[in-house]
Amino acid sequence: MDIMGALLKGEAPKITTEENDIIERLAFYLRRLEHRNAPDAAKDPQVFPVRPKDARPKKKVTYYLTKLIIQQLEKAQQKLAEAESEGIKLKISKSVIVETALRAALQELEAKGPRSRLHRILRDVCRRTKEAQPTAMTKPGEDVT
Amino acid sequence: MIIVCPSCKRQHKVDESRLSDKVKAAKCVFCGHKFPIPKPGDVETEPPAVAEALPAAEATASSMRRIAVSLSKGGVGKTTTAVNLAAGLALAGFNVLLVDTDTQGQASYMLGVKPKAGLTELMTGELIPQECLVKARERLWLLAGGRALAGVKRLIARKDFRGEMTLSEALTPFEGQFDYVVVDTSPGWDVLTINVLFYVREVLIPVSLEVMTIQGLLEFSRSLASVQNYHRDLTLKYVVPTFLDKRVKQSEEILQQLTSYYNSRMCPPIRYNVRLSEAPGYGKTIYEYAPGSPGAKDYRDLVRRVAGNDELLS
Repeated sequence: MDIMGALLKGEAPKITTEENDIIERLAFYLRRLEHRNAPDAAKDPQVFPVRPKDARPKKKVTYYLTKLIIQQLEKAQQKLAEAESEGIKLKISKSVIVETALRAALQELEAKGPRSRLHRILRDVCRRTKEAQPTAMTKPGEDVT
Repeated sequence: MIIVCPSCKRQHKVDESRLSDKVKAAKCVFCGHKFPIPKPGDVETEPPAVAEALPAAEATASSMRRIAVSLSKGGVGKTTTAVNLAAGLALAGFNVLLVDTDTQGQASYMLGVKPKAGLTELMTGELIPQECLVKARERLWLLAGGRALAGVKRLIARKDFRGEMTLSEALTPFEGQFDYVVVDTSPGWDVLTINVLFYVREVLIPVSLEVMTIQGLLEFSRSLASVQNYHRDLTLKYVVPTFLDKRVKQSEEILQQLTSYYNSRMCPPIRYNVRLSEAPGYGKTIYEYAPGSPGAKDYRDLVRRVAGNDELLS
């Protein structure tokens, strides 16, 4: 009788021992664990609200803004968030505000040319810079007035 | 024929029938010294006494407890448990033999010893039994495993008859010499694991508290029941939860379930402890490396449980 062969192949006769009951219970518990851990196919996949993606390609760029305009931009965003438009709360990112404002100014510049508001403001800025003494950059932490 | 190395005085068992006439010299596996093989007619002196004297055979064969630390699933803490259990029992004053039947041979690494011979030499009969042992600590002897055991597995597999008793027959010379024989097994189900289960009378199963291990425990329990057909004295005596981490929700739940199934056979759990994984790197047991750690405390509890004495190591 080849005991070793029977044991290796799992062909050894089964006998009833006190372990059998535990083996059965263990098998049942394992099935329960497996069932619990398995992904439930019947259940609908959980839907999370996803912010609609802008179809237009975006690019992250770096331009310098004065600290004052950054503060004003943040205040504007808060105001827009608090304001309700037709019962809908607006939740607008700073990027959207900057993009919208810039688009409006550039469209006017294209349409009116030198008579546009952006052109006139920039012309004043250039003239004042030319007249004024060169100023130093604000140091980190310095208040902008 | 037993030949003695003139350099280190170790004894080697040589099968004369397998030696051809051309073989004139032998190389000692311990010191590497080459020496001429004495001819049968030569006057052979009495073999010297074994360097590391084994404990006196006080314990009777029946009182020597044989415990296998086994589970077919790997990575559950078998070797860590076997080494720290054996070392703990030795610290408690018992004479312990730790047998490593794993081809990885990590028990010797954990104990910081580099044995020249071990279980392979014992089972192939290359050395006399006493020469195969290494004294790893006070009262703790090691019969080391290693890659060479793969050859032993082939040797057992070739046997047509009583292949399952090969280990038992090889360990017969140590009968009654120790209080405990702790056998560390390799993962999986092979001829050597079956041999271990035919040698021991008690089985200790370390169970890490995760689903995969429960599956392994189920398979191993079935295999164990098959072996019990032929070896009625074999009992599953201890189930030791390992890697207990109370932050993991499932581990607590599995522990409760196992406790309800195994009742009195459940041992105090071994908590997840980083010191247990660091200790082998220093070749130390947990009692030597971090005696105040939770790992050391948990293994002391296990030693008390196995020895059935709550006063031990306190």
